[in-house]
Amino acid sequence: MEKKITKQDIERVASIARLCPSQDELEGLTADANAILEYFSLIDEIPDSVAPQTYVLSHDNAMRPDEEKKIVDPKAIRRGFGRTQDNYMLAPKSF
Amino acid sequence: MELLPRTLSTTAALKSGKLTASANLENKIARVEKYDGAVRAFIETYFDDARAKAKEIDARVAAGKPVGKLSGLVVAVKNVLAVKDKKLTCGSKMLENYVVPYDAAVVEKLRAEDAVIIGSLNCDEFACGSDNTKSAFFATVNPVSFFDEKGEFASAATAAGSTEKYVPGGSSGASAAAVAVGFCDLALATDTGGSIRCPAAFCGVSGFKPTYGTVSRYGMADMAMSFEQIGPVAPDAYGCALLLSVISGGDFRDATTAKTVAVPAPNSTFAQPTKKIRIGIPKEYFEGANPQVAKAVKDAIGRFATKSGCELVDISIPAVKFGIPAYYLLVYSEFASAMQKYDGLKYGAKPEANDELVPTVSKVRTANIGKECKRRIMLGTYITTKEHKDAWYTKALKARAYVRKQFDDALTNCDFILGPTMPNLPWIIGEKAADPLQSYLEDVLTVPANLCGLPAGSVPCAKIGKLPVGLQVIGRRGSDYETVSLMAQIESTLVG
Amino acid sequence: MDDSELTVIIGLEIHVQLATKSKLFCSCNTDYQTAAGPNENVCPTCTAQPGTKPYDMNAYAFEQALKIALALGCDKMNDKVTMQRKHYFYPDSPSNYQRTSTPIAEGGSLAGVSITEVHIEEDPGRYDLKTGIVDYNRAGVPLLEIVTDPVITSPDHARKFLEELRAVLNYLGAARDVESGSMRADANLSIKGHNRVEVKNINSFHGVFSALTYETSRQKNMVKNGLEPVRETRHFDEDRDITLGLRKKESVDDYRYIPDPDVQPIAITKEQLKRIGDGLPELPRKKMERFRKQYGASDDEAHALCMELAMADAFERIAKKVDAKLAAGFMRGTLKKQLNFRSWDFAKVAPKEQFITELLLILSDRKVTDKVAEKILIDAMDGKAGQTTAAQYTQDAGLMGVQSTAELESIIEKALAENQKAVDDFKAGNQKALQFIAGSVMKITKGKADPAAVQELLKKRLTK
Repeated sequence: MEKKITKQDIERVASIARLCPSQDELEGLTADANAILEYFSLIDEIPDSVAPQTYVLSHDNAMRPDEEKKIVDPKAIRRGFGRTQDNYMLAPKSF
Repeated sequence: MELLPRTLSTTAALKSGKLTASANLENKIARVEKYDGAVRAFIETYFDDARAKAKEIDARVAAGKPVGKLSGLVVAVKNVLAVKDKKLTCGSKMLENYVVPYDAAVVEKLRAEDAVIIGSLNCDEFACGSDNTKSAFFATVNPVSFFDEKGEFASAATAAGSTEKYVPGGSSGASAAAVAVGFCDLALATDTGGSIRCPAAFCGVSGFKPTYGTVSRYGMADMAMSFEQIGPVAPDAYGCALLLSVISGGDFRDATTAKTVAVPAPNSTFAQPTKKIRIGIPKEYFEGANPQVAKAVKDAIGRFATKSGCELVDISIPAVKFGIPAYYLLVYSEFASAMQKYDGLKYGAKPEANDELVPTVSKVRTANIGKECKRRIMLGTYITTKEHKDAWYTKALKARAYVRKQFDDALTNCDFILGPTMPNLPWIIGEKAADPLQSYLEDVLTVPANLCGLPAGSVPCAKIGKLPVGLQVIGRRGSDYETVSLMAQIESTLVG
Repeated sequence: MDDSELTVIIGLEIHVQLATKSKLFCSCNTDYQTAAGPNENVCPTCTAQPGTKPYDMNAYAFEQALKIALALGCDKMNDKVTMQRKHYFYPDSPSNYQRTSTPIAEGGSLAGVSITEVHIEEDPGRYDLKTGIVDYNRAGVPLLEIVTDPVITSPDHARKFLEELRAVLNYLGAARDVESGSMRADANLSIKGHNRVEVKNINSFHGVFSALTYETSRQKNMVKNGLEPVRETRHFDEDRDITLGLRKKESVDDYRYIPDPDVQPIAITKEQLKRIGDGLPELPRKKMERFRKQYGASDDEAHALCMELAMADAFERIAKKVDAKLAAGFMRGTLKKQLNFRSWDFAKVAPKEQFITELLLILSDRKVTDKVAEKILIDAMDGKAGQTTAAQYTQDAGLMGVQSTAELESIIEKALAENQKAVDDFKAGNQKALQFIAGSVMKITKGKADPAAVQELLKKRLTK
């Protein structure tokens, strides 16, 4: 493995992933990341010339006709919203 | 051991009218009420709905009207599969009270074929685990923990007090446990890296993961989209085949099923060999395994070979060692992506206070997603960032190709690959809590089938003390019927 | 350092909604403007409920994307397109990633602006930063993103490009809401040699011009004062026509793209491209050229007629029955003026083609003056003509017929007789008195008289 992962690296990743671990947790995650990726660096043995396998199946995407169809009562979707305001979902402001 | 009723005999009894759907259901409910306090398989039971359905089926049968292929069979569903207007918790606090507004494609099919859906089953949180100890709610206990020396299910009181509690395997631990204790005739579970096969092996039942793209994943909460399949857990391979025939087939709501046709239902010659087959025995599958497990599986294979006259070939698949890294790196990446949707705004756990946008989302995710899931999200995020993508994510895609090629090559020379399902026997609940890597390594024999999209199943082949050992069958892509058929043939040899 | 030394470099990423009935990856209705309310055109898939997957892709949406790519002259069409997940947390994105494709086509140009690539993606929902309200009706609507090379040199240049783009889209019928001017764009702007700034949240054609004007000014001022514009993403505030810096936390620097495992690669075949290419209509530029040659239309006239296909087609049908030059002049002038005044596109215009044709015939027969013709058109567009023909309406309104010279002369005598004082004033040297009398003549004729003829005859009479 090229270089050790630092606590700062993990902090940055946590921010991107919208997680806020405590200092203890950060230390634990950093240790885990290093141990796990150290072991996984085993894959470096595989030659780089191998082509990456992106898709499991080789068929092209199927297409569907442009038809409108109602699937569920939208009320059932709205009932899950954390906060609402007149059928709008209410999220925190960002202004 | 208290032998589980064979699926064929249950369906025959239901068809002949000797057993009504309602009576079958009441048997199951009685067992749930008696033993689930100890086993802890269910998240939620649907007894009222189930009774109504069973009654309705019995009325139709009495009136001579047609009924579905699963008519009267009691089915339980892993709680990552959407059952309309019921809780879809995925074993997580994040979705503890989330009521899902639609049915999964497979649940639609269960209903259409008159299965009686009895309830939702516990699992590792978002399917991240190999022993069902990572559910946010409670751990399911392997029912073998409660069998006494005679193989009888000891009372819950005795169980609670004295026996060691073994893991049922994971992530679909409760699905296998439920089948093993007779809470249901069949269970529907999911397998991303072994999550059906591992618990099937640990609980002494049969389980099958179809070829990737065979069963619609519409309605299955994502763990790793290019790895997972929904599959059956049953007392026997016949039950697996029956359920598989119902759930498989194309669905425009899952583009990966575009080229798939439903696997045919098991017919009268299902468990009979159609031709002489060649079976590959990879040495890597036995080298790292617990010696008792290795021996038990080798012996079982030997007995089958003798009885069936199939050809056994020793093979080597060195790429097996890359399986765990390739699997987990890609699973982390896909899982991190799948988990982005949980932000406390649209459904699920709500934020505690109303903060600014970024801290609100971060706090609700941190508070309601468990440790292992968070670990995977973090690692998945890390390895897909620009700086690290080539070294890890892209390299893992190469490793996937590499493993796939070796398995495909092996399966051109053999019709099937046989080996142990798990390298070890079931461990005690809590034993593998400390080191995540130790947990991961338990998946070494099951992940290749997911990496390569191959059909694979597990049948019980032996016991070490009271702990079951599973025998794994892996087939070529698209040979699902033949693979489950082979499982049935092996079963009939071993069960006798 | 003066303005002329500061070269402005602009690139645009334009998001065009494709005109489909259903969304890209689910079967919800896409017409969010006429939805019964917020969060009505939603389903488990487009709100990313746990377990949902994208449906098979909307075939019509992809075809429209190909149509537009070919119409933009993209010459490098890729034979496989894959969907990628672009990750960022934001309330308008149900899954907190957007499905966006790899380029469908590259190359091509429009109005002298070269196109980098076009690709297809999902529209997010709508989130209002100020109030926090979120509506997912729009989430999952198919979008085509058109990325230009950074070769646009000014806000005006951008406007001309967008105008032609709007016309192309109008001709193809592949995009929605083109006429209402709603389309979204992100812009990249820099002063040559300095940092590039991205501007997001531009929601109309007009907004592009405003945002670029403001941003050009802002950056030029900074550079002139020796300051370096910060390399950042700014938010365009439509209400105030200014751009604002976003808080750092909310801009994303890494989208962690991965191919979407739920969507298989999409194939584009040569047969498909040929079929779509062969079916393309004559595009605006070509049509303008032909109108100049075939009808003798001026540049201005050709441009005005060809911005909307419905208008161009109507013109050609009208020009079969009426003098083409007359029709071109009338439609480019009088008609276009009324359309602009009402913010209407021709397709929505009140008078039917037949009405215009007839009106032009009356005009060319000199049965009404230009001014009367304009009045009749306005009345028709105000809905006053109902179902009547142009001739009937003109007749009923008493506006038919322009006076002969003899008729006019006798009306002039009448007006002079009624306005002795004004005559005396004029004879006393007050030039304005003539206009007063002319006004009187117009009143008597109910505006039907040709104003130029009235002036000429009146002058002659009074200076006799």
